[in-house]
Amino acid sequence: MMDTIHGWYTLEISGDLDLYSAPELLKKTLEILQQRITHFHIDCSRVHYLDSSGVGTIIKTLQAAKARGIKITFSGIQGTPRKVLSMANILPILTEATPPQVKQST
Amino acid sequence: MQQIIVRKLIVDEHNELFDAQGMRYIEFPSDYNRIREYTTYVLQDCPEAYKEGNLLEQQLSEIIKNGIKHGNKKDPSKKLKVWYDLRKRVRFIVEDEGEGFTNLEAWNEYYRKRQEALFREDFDTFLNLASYRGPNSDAEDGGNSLIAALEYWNGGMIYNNKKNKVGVVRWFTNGSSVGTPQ
Repeated sequence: MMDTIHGWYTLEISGDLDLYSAPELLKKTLEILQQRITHFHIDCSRVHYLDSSGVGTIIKTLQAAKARGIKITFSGIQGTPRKVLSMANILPILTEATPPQVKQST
Repeated sequence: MQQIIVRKLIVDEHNELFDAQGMRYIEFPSDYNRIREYTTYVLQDCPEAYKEGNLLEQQLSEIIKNGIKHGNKKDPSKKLKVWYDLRKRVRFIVEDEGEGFTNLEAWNEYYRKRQEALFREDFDTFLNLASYRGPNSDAEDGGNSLIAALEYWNGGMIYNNKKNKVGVVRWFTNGSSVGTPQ
């Protein structure tokens, strides 16, 4: 979803973020970060499985957002995905926030 | 007072974690597309309490992936050998036919720098170091599986001398949030 007025883009991801799906998600997030946005929000509330490839996608997305000066936030990180991010020591560099209320989706 | 925690990957050929006596055994062809299937097979009789949701599946899957992808280079003619014991705790020995994790010491050094950056809250450096990139890393590697593994395998994570075989164990007592199944 994209709020073209305020420069927000919200991406909802669901299911298993694993070695098979992570490359496709990375491609998607890097495409999003090429757009004229100021804030990228990723809603993880429907992610139930996360492995190191998924964590790697999150890290690469964070790095790309930082390089482009785009603020990135997350919500809904829970269950074992949260535990995996904690064990990988990635949680301290994630900014968690409630999902933005967007006006329209594309 | 905040403490810095820097764990290390250890090589110990004769460690008791390599004693496979009484363990079940299975071997798989190195089919990258079946890694999660292999993991599910090994854990099919595992007590639910030991699975911790899908955390055990995730951690075992990482070890199997490392053996198939980095060890056996996805060569289906090469086998991945898995010994496992799911009684009282979860213990695995996984051996591939590759040349071994030759960058183990470099990885330990990388991890030390990463943890030091986190400790001093230097998040820019930490973000740059968040994923390990070795000479055999590719674009699809997460580069963080061993970091979580060192915490998850609370009874040890040991490599043999060739570094193509790893022994791991996770206990569920003495502070674990998971009780022993009845």
